[in-house]
Amino acid sequence: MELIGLFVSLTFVNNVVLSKFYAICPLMGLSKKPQNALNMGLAVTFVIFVASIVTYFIYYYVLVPLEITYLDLITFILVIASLVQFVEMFLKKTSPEIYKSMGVYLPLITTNCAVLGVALDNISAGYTLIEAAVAGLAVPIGFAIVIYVFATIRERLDIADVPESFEGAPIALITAGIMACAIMGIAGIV
Amino acid sequence: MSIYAIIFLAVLFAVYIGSYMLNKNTPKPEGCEDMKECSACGNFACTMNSHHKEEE
Repeated sequence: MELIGLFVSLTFVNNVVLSKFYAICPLMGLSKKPQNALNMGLAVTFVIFVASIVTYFIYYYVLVPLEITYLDLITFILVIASLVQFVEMFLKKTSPEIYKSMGVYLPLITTNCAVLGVALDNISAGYTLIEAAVAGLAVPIGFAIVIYVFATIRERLDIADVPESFEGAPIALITAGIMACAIMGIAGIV
Repeated sequence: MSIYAIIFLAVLFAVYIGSYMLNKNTPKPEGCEDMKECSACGNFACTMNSHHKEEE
C-alpha cells in the first residue's frame, strides 16, 4: 500500500515537472506535436527506470564502502551519460523500429535534469531498492503524462485566437502554470 | 581515500569514453541512416538541431 501511495504521489502530487520544475527544457521544446511528446516520454521512462536502479547499486555498493559519497553528483552524471550511450547502441542492434521512433531523442535525455534529479532524490530520501525502482517508474510516467497533455493543449493553442504578444512561449508558460495549479489541487488526496 | 576517488573517476571516464566510441562505431539500422534531425526546439547549440544539417 505504501508503494502505491509513493507511486501516486510521485506521478501526480509531487510531479517532477509541475512541482519541482525539472525537465522544463524538453517540456517546452518537445511538446509541439503529441507524437514527439509520447516518444520522448517513452524514452525518458526507460532511461530513468534503469538509471535509478543502477545509481542505487553504485551508491550503496561502491561509493558508501569506499567513503567517497561526495562524488555522487559527478558519478551519476557519468553513469547516466554512459547508460544513454549503451541504450542507444542496444536499440540500434536489437530494435530498429524503436530506435527509428525515438533515436533522435535518446541523446537529448543525457541533459534531461529529471534523470539526474530522480537519482539524487532517491539517495537523499533514503529509499530502499524497491522504493527506488517504484520512484524510477512513477516519476517518468508523471513526466510522460504531463508532456503529452501539454502537447495536446499546445496543438489546440496553435489554432486559438491568442493575442499577438502572448503567442508561442508566453502562452505555453501560462498554460504550464495553470497545469501546475491543477496538480496542486490533488495534493490533499494522497 | 582520495586515491580511491581518483581511480573510481578514471574508471567512470573510461567507461563513458568506451561507451561513446562503441556507440559511434555501431552502424545505424537499415532505414535509419539518414534520420530526420530534431526540429523540436530552436537551440542552435544542440548538435541534433536541423539547422546544422542545413549548413552542411
